[in-house]
Amino acid sequence: MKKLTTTVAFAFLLLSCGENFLDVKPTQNVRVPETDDDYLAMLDNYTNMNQVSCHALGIIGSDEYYITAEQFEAMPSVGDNIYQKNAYVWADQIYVGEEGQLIDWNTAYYRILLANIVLEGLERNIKRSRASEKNSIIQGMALFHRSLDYFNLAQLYCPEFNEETSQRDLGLPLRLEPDITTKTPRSNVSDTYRQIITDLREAIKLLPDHAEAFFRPSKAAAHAVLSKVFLQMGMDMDAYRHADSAISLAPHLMDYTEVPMVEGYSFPLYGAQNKEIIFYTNIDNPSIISENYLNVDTAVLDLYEEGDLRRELFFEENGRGYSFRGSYTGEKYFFTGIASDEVYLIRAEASCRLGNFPAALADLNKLRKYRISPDAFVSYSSNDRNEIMEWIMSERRRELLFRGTRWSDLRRWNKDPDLAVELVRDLDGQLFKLMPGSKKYVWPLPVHAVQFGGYTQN
Amino acid sequence: MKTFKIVLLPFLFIMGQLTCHAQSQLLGQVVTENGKPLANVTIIALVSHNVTMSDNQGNFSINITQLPDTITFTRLGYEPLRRTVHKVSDDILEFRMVTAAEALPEVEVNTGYYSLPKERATGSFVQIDNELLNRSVSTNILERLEGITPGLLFDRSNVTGEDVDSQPNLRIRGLSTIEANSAPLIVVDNFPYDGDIETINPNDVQSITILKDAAAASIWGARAGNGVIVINTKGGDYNQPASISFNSNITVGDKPDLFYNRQYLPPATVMEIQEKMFEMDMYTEHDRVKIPYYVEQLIKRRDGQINEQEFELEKARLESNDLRAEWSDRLYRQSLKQQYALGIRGGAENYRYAFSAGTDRNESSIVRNGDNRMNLSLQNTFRLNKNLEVTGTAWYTKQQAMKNGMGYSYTGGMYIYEGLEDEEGNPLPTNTQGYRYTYHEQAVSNGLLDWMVRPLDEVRLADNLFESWEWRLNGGVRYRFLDHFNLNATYQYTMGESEEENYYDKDTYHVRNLVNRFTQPDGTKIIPYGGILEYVTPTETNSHSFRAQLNYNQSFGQKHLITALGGGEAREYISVLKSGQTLYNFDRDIFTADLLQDYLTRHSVRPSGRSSVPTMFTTPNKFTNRNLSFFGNASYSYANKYVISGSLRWDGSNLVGVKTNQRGTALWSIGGSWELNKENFYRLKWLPYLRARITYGSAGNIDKSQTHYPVIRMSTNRVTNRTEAIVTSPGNPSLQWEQVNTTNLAVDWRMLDGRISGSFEYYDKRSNNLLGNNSIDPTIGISINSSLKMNYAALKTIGWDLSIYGRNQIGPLDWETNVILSHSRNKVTHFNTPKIQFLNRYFSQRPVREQQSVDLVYAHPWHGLNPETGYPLIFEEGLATSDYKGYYAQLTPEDLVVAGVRVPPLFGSLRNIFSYKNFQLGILLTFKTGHVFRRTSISSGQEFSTNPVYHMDYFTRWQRPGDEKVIDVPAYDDTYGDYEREYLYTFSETLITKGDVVRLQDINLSYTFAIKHFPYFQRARLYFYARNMGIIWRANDNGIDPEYAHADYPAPKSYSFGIQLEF
Repeated sequence: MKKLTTTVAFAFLLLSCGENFLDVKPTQNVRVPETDDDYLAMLDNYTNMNQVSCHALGIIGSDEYYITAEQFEAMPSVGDNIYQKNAYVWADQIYVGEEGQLIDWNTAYYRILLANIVLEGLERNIKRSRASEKNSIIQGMALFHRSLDYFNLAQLYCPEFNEETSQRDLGLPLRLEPDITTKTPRSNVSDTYRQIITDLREAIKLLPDHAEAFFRPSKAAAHAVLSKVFLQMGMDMDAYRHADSAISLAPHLMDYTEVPMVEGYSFPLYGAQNKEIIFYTNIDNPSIISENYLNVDTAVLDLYEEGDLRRELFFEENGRGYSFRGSYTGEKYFFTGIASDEVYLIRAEASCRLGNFPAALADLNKLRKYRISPDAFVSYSSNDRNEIMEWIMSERRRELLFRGTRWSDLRRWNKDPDLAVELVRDLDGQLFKLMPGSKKYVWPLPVHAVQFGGYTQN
Repeated sequence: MKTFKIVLLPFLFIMGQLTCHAQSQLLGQVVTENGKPLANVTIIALVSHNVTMSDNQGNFSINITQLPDTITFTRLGYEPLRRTVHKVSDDILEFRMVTAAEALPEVEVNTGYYSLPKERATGSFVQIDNELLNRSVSTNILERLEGITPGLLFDRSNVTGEDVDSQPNLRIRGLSTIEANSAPLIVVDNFPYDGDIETINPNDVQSITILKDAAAASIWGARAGNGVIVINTKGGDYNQPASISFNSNITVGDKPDLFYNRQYLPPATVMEIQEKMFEMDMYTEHDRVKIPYYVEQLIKRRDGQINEQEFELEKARLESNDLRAEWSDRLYRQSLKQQYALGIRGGAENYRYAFSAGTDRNESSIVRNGDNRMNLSLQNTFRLNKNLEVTGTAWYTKQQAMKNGMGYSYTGGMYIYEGLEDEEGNPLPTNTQGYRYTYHEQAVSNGLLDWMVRPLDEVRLADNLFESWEWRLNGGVRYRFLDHFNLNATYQYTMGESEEENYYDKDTYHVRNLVNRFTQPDGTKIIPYGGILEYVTPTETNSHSFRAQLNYNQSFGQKHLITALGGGEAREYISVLKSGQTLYNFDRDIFTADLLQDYLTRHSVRPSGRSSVPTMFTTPNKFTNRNLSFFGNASYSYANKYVISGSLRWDGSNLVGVKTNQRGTALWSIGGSWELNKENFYRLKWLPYLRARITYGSAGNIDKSQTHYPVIRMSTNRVTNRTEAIVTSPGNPSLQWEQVNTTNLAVDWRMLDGRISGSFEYYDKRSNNLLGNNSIDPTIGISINSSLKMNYAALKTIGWDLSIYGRNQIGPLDWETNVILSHSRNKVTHFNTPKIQFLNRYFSQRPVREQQSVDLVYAHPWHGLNPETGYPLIFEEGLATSDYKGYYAQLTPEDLVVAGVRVPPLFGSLRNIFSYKNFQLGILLTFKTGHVFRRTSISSGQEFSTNPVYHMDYFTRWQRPGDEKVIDVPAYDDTYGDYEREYLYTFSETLITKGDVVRLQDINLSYTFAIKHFPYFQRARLYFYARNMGIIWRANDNGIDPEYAHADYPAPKSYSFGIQLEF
C-alpha cells in the first residue's frame, strides 16, 4: 500500500502546481492593464486617439467643396459611398443598410470607452495606493479625450445648444463607466454640455501646461477646446477667458512667408515642426471628400485676396478644379485638431461679440500678418461690429478650411438671422438646399445604434 | 526497497535501483496465432481465486498462491484457453489464443487515454482500422475518412477559387457552435495535435478512432465539443521477427478543367461589348486609368496610328485567342504525386521497435508549384523488468512547398482575347496594373525600367520556397504494481520551425515595378535595381506535454469487473514569431546585399502619392498556451451484460483577462449499456446479439479571444515612436463559456451468424451560452468589426447515424457491403439580441434567427421577368413597377423566403467490396441530399462596369417580349449601377439550386500475390485506385458540381498505381 501512496502523492505533487502554471501570459505583448503606464499607453494609441476624429459627416455636409454631377453619377452607390452621397445632398435618410458604421459615432464612442476604462483603472490604483505621480495627468488626458469626443458628437448628432430648449432637446447617451453590459439612455443637450464643461474644467486642473508632444492633451489644449465649447454655446465671456488662457500658453503662429513652395503637400508630414498645433488629430477622409472626388468650392477660392499666401500653399489644380494640399498633416488626410490660429479667431469672435473691437481686430490682424505677403498686407480697422464680424467669418473660412469647423460655424451663425446662410448643391441643375435652422443640421444616429441600442432616432 | 528515481532524457528513460519481489507472480503474455499481442483477455486463476486482464501489449501478471493452479483465458472472439501451471518462475510465459470459428474480429477503441473492447464501450465511437485506411491513396490522412465514417461530414462550401484540394470543413454530427471554431479536436498518439495535419504520413497510421458523443469525447474536455479524431501510429510487437514493409504509389491527376467555370464570355463577345463601351465614350483616356488591350487598338485606329487593315488583322488575331486554352496549355499540367514508405517492425523478448521512413513528392497541376514531404520515425520499447516498460519515440518531418506558378485565377484582369506568347514563342506583355498601356510603354523612354508584366516570364523567374520541419520526441514509462494497478507516465516534446523565402530576380516585375515606383522626379532611384530577397516572418514552435495516469483493473468473482483510471496532464505550447527581413540588391551568386535601407522616409512614388520602402520587418511576438487537466474515468460491468460508465474532467488554460475561477471548466458524462440477448427472457433467435446503449454528458468550447477584464496589446507606434496599447478586448464581466450537452441513444445488433451487423445511434445535442458578435450597439464603444462576443444563443442539433455491414459468400466470391446514413438538423432555440433588419446580412453572413436552422439560405421571392422591360418583375400595390430602389427600401427580412439549408441534412455512402481469389475490388458511392446552393448568373450591366464580370448566362438572357415565358435571366443593360434591381435577381429564389448529388467517390482494385510464388514475401499486393470519378446523378441540370459550386473547377480525377510489399 505504501507504494500506492507514494505514487499517488507523486502524481499529485506534479499536478498541484496548477494555478501558478496557468498564470503565464498567452501572448507576450498582451496584458490586462494595471499600471498607470498601461493606461497612458492606451491613451497614446495614436491610430485610434488621433487619426480618426469625429468630423466626417460635418465636413461632408459643409459647403467647402463640391463634386460634379458627373462625378456623383460615377461614384458607385455601394457600401460606404451610399451614406456619403446621401449626406452630400442632405437626404432625409442617409443610411440605406449598414454602411457608415465605422465613422464618427463609432470611433468617438470607442475613445470614450477607452477613456472610461482608463479613468476606472486610475481610480482603482489610487484606492490601492498603486498610483504613480503621472496618475492625475493621465486622468486629465482621459477626461480631455472624453469631453472632446462628446463635444464633437454633439455637433453632429444633437441640436445646437439653446438655453431655452436644452432641457428638452435630445442629447447624447453619456457613458461614464466602462462596463459594456450597462445601458445608457440619451440625455438632454443641457446635461451633455454640462458634462463636457465639467470634464474639461477638471482636465485643465490636472494637465500640464504643455504635453511632451502634441499627440497628447495639454492644459493649453483643454483651454482651447473649452473656449470652442463656450463660443458654440454663445457664452462669449467664458470663451474669451479660455481662449486667452490658451493663447498665453501657446501663442505661436507660423509665418507663411517662410513656408517653402514645394510640389505636393505644403506642410511637413504629421505636423512635424509645426508650432501652431496644440493638439493633433486628423480624419480618415471618406471617399467623397478624398482627393479622388473633392473639388474646392469656387466661392471659397474667391475669398483669398491678392497676396494671400494661402491661395498658393493650399490649392493645386487637378484637371477638374482645385484640390486641397494645405492640410497640417502634410498628407491627404484633413487636420482636425486644435491649432493656435483657430484660438486667435475664437478670441477675436468672442471679443467682437463682447464689443471689444480693438481686441478683435488685433487678433485678426496678427493672424493675417502671418498669412499675407508683407507687400500686400493691409491692416483691418473698423468700428462697425457687423463689418468686423464679416471679416472674422471670412477669415475663419479661409484659415480653417477643411479643419472640421465649418459645420459648427454654420450651426452657430445660423442662429443669427443676419449671419445665416443657405447651402445649395447643384447636380446638373438639380438643386438641393439646406436652410438655416433645418432639422438636417442634426445627422441621424447610425442604424446599429438605433437598432441594437434602442435609442430614439433624431 | 522503494527508492524511486527517474531521470528523464528526451526519449530515453534510464532506471536505477529498482527492485521488485513477487515470488508468486506469474508473468505472461497473451498472443494471437500470428504472435500479435492480445489485450483485454480475462485471466482467472481458478485455485488462487485471482482475476486480471492483459494490457495493450498482451502482458499480464497474476498472483498465484497455490500450486498447481489452473488458469483460464477468455476473450470475445477467441476460443477459451485453459492451462495448468506447476511452478512459477521469473520467465515470461507466452499463451496463444486461437480465433473462435465464427467470431467477429475484435474491435478495440482507443480514446487516447485508454482502449477498450467496443463491446464494453457505452459511448459513440467509430473505429477505422488499418485496412480501411489503406483502401484509399492520399497524402493527407483525414482525406481517407471521407465516406467511411458515420456522422462525419466533409462540407466543401468553404472551397472557392482554385483551392479545390483545401481542407474541407469537418463536421462531426452537425454543429455544436455558431461562431466558435467548429473543427474537431485531433489527437495524435495520445496528445492533442497542434501542428499541420499534412505533416502526418498516412503510412505510419495504424488506426483512427472518432469520438462522437459526450461519453466518448468528454475525456478530452474543453476542446472536445466538436468531437475528437484520435490517430494512432504503428508500433512493433514483442517476440516478432523483423518485418519489412514497403509501399509505393504514383498518382496522376487530370489537368483542371478551366472551361468548367461559367463566368466568362467568348473573345468576340467581350470585344463587341468593349467596342460598344468605347463608342459610348466610357473609357477615360488617362495615364492612371487602365484601358483594355482591344480598346487601345480602337483608339489607335481612331487616331490614325494604325490603318483599317492592320486593325482588322489584329482584331482577327484577338478573336481567335482563348486565354483559358493557352493558360491550360502553358501553365497547367497533369499533377503527379509519388509516395514511398518503408517500415521495419519487430521485437525480441524484452524489446520491440518500429522504424519508418517515408517521402512524398507532389507536382501540382499548376506548373512550377509542388511540395515534398519527408517523414522518419523510430520507436523503441524495452521491458526492463516484468513490471516495467519504457518507450522512446522520435519523429521527424520536413516539408517544402514551391509556389512559383500562376493559376488562371491570377490573370489579374487579363481579357480572354489576350495571349501569353506571340507567334515566335516570345512571352507577351500584359497590363494587369491600374494604369494605361501607354503609361507603362513610355517607361523606358522616360528613363525608367521596362514596366510590363509577362506572365510566362514571371512563372519562369519566380522563386518562392516555404519550408518547415518538426521533431516530436516522446518518452513513456509503464509500471505495473499491486496486481491491479498500472501507472503510465508520458512526456512529449515537439519543436519545429517554418520559414518562407521569396527571391525576386531583377528581371521580375516585382523588382522592376518597385524600382520604377520609387524613381524620384529627378531620376534618382531609391531602390537599387537588383535582386530582392524576402524572409517572411519565420515561426518557431515547441511544446512540452506531460501526462501521468493511474489505471486500475480488477474483477471480483466471475461477474464483476471494474476498470478505472485517473490522472493529470499538463501541456505547454509556445510559438515565436520572428521578424522577417527584406534584402535589397541581393546578389544570389555571392550572397551580398545592401544592408542599410531607410524604411521610414516617405518618398514620392510614381504615378502619385508617398510611400516608404516596403519591408518584411515585423515586431516579433511570442505565444504561450498552457493547459492543465485532471481526469477520471470508471466503468463497472456485470456479467458482461450491464455496463455503467462515467467520466469527469477539469480543464484549465492560461487565459488572460479571465476571472481565476473561470479559467477552467469541469465536464462530465455518464453512460450505460445492456446486452439484451444475455437475458433469460430473450427469445429472438434470429437476432442473437442485441445491445442498447445510452449516454449523457457535457463537453465545452472555450473562446480564447474573450475576456472578463480589458486586455491590451503593446506595440510601438511608427509615427509617434511611443509605446501604445491597443485594446484587444474591452472585457465582458458576464462572459460564460459555451457548453454542449449531448444525449446518445444507440442499438447494436448482429444477425445471420454475424453476416449482417449494424448500429443505429440517435443523438440530441444542446449547446448553451453560445458566443457571437452580431448586433452589438456601437455606443458601448465596440464597433461591428471588433471581435467582442456576447453569450447570445442556444442551439439544438438532433440527428442519427445508421451503419449496416453485410458479408456474403457466393461460391468463391466474397462480397462485403457497408451502408452508412447520417442525418443532422440544427435549430436555434434561443437568441437574445434584436432581430437583424439588414437584408444584405441574410445573404452574406449566417444570420441567426430563433427557431431556425443556422444553415438557412435566404432568397428574394421570384415573380419572373417583366414582359416589357425584361427585368425582374416586382409589384407595388398590385401593379408592376420599375422603382427598384423604392421597392427594395421597404423590404423587410419577413419578405425573404427560406430557400433551404446549405449543408446536407442527410448524407451517406455505399461501399461494396468484392473479393475473388486474389483480386479485390472496392467501389465507394457517396451521396448528399436535402441542401441547396446559390448559383451565379449575370447582373444586368456587369459587363459594362469598370471591373467587368462576364457570365455565360448572357446568351440566355431576356431579349424580346415573350422570352420571359421560358427565361429567368434578365435583360442586359449598358450601365451598371441599379444594384437593387440586380440583388432582386442574384439573390432570388430562381438561382437557388438543389445540391443533391450521388458521386462515384473512388474505386480500388488490388491483386495479392500468392505467397508460394514469392517465398521471401509475407505479402505482396498491387493496387490501383481512382478518386473523384465524377457525378453519377445530380439534382441540378445547370452542369454545376454542388460540391464545387463556388470553385473555379471541381477537383480533378486522379489515378494511382501502387505496390505494397512485406518481407
